[in-house]
Amino acid sequence: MSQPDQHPLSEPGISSRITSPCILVIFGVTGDLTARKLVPAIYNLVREGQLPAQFACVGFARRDKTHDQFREEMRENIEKHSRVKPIVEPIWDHFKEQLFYHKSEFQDDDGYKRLKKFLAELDAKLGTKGNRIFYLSTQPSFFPLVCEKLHQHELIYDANKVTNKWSHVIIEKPFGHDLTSAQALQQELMQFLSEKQIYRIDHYLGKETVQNILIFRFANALFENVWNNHYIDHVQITVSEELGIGTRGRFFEEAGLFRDIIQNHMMQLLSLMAMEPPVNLTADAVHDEKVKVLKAIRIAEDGNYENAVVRGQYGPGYIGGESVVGYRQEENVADDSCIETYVAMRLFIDNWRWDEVPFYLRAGKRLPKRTTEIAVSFKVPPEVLFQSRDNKHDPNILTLRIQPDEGISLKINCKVPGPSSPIQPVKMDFRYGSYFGMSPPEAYERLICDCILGDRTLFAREDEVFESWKLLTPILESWQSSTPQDFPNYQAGTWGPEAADRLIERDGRSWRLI
Amino acid sequence: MLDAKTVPPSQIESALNNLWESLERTGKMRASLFNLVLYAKKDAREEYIRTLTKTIIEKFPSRVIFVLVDPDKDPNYSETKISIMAGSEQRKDYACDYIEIGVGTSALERVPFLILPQLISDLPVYLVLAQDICQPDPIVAALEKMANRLILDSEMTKNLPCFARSALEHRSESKCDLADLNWARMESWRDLLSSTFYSQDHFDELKAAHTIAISYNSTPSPYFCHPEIQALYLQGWLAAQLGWSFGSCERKNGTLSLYYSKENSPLVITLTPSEHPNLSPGSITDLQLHTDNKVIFVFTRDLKYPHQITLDITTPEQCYLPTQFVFAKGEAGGSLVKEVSHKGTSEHYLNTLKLISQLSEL
Repeated sequence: MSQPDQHPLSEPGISSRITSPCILVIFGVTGDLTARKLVPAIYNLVREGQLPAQFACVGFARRDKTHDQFREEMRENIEKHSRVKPIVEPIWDHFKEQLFYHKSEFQDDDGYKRLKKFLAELDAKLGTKGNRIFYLSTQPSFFPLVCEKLHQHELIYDANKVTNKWSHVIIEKPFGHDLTSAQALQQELMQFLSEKQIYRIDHYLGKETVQNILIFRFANALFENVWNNHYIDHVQITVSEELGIGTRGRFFEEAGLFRDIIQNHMMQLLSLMAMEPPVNLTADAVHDEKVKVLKAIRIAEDGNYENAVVRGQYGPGYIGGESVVGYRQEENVADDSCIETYVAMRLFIDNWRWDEVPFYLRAGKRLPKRTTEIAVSFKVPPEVLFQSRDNKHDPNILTLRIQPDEGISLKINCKVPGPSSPIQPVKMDFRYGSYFGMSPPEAYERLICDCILGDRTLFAREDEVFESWKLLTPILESWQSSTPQDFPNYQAGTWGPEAADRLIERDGRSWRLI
Repeated sequence: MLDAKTVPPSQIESALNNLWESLERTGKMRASLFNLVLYAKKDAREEYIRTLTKTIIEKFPSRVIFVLVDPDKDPNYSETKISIMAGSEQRKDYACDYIEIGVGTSALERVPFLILPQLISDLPVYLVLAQDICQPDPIVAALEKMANRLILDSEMTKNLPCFARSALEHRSESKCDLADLNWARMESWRDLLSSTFYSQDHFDELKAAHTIAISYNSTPSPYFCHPEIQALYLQGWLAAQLGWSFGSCERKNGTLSLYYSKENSPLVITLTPSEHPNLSPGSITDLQLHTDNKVIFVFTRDLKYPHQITLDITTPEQCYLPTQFVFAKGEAGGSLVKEVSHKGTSEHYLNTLKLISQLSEL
């Protein structure tokens, strides 16, 4: 995924990647994402010399503030949320001169005219050469409007006609709320942009541990030979959060966990786990293999999802020893809401590698702990040798811990020291934090840098999005046609509804106790 | 670091295990990504090498084997000590094995035998040679045989062309990849010039350069006595990568002038010392490049905030507004960390060494 480079002063794989001068305009800059993630990420990129010297960041929002007020707010956000503290004053003094604020409503033509003029002034002053990134950190309903206005005011360039500068648009998930809306959104955007200008962000792909899935699989010959249905019994992927929905009640009532996590993060983890080795590491080659996985997924026969998918909603319970309210008691949530905060599913990938290997996926809010992991459970060897009743013959389990406590562990069976031969499972463990002392970059740092470089490997391609919607939309439709009678069906602080346990126990397996 | 404890060589491993057992309840993880062997003489730079070790293990925990030759001790002196080094002030959850081998000049031949059993199998061995490689040393060849990567310290030499020739010989005779502390230190300048001259129009101007003036901090410190080296490397790198042919050099009033030719037109590079006690020795403070088209690129380090560099570009038609760059990596240790984890030998470094090896006595 490195930048190919024949320049005599640049050494591939050694020299820092050369990012072009550009301006990043953040729409919805007063929102939570900018405060917690985007601006701290940009600051750290500046701190590590990863951004071009000719760079500016312009916040676009409707509230009234000056550049200096905006800069002060962003400083507070960096002080609170940067992965490296404290703020380095000389770096801040340099960075704040690259931060600007532009007041406008999303639909205000005059606002875009003024923006265009302002960006041109920045080009002249800072040497940003007309290159633009527009980050749409807004409600999805604003995407078409903003893109239309940007196009109308020639802030987005026609990639076929303009070759001496570029413009990219970063769009936050969710991309549509089902297949039809995703296709409709795509059609709307394509009036103003080409596919190559659209960067659909899924921040999971920017995580070091998620990128490590491909390194782990394809840079170690040992695992690739057993990464198939001859040796693997099943795979469990868990994305669990102990937090509730917080202040996102309004958003969650529209989206639900399925759209918030399953359609994007979960499908990305699954496709990276299951894909074939790409022919090279170009963006398209990687995306092609991911799409093949999505196309081969089978969830249920004849649209009967009852035995394959379980939804849940948390009720009151205890997290961290403190009592917490149920979902229906959260702010901006209806008393009789039927929105799911938990999903478990079983699916199969119908291809030679994965035939008849079940994949069990679960994600939920208000579960006992925050963890994202992929656990590959191998088949048990023939039990002809160690048959005594004192022996535990656990399957080998390879676990990729995405967050927290990032690392990889392998459970193997060993002999217990002593005259008899009992077998005890033990764990071989690698922890990122213990081996790599430096604090790794945040996901958004990597993704913003990649967008400047024009590298779309870590962004979702249009067909990936459509294939996952194609797969999952029928489940949403079946849910819409039936009201769950048992909500809430799990207590906050437990691992989800009993129906989820039955889902996997029917197959003679059980969920990992994490 | 815990107080080092003297143990006989045969008990190094068991003594380390006992130490770790005593730390069992502290939650510290014993971590090691590679074997880091440092070979140094007891002299003014010893402390610097120790500081460097700490910087490396803060980023990459490793088993450290520190070999210290003490010419002031009995020639047959030999002592082994063990300890545990914590990761960093911020990250106390992991720590590394530390083994120190002190020898007198006659006991040197024992060193490879002392080291070999202590290497953790299957992990790479990185050998830091904090010695002047122009001087023959009987055990360096034996140490190189164990190593995957050789990290040289050109600061130890007064004669950079000789160092370059020796480094190239090492490269051809051993299987080790090569790195150099001073080369690592000027990585930020290489990145800066690479990004500045990346566009075609700027690159064309670079190719049309007729004068390059580099100023560097000549204030020495107990650890650094040859502050010209980074500047020599930087100009050598430019010349090597751009195919400039070296002609001659002369030194006048402290300034070293190197005369090159490129595509039948001459180019002179001057290296001028200047004193800046608050900067690290050898730091490049500014670089000016004049081209045949009368375009001038001036890179100036902010002496108050030394990690900030300002670039001013002037053409006959206009003066561009200054651009500021940030050197993110600290110039001690930070870039070395990247060098340590890199595989292979930098082709650019080899090209630079080849060019510098041709320079006559500087």
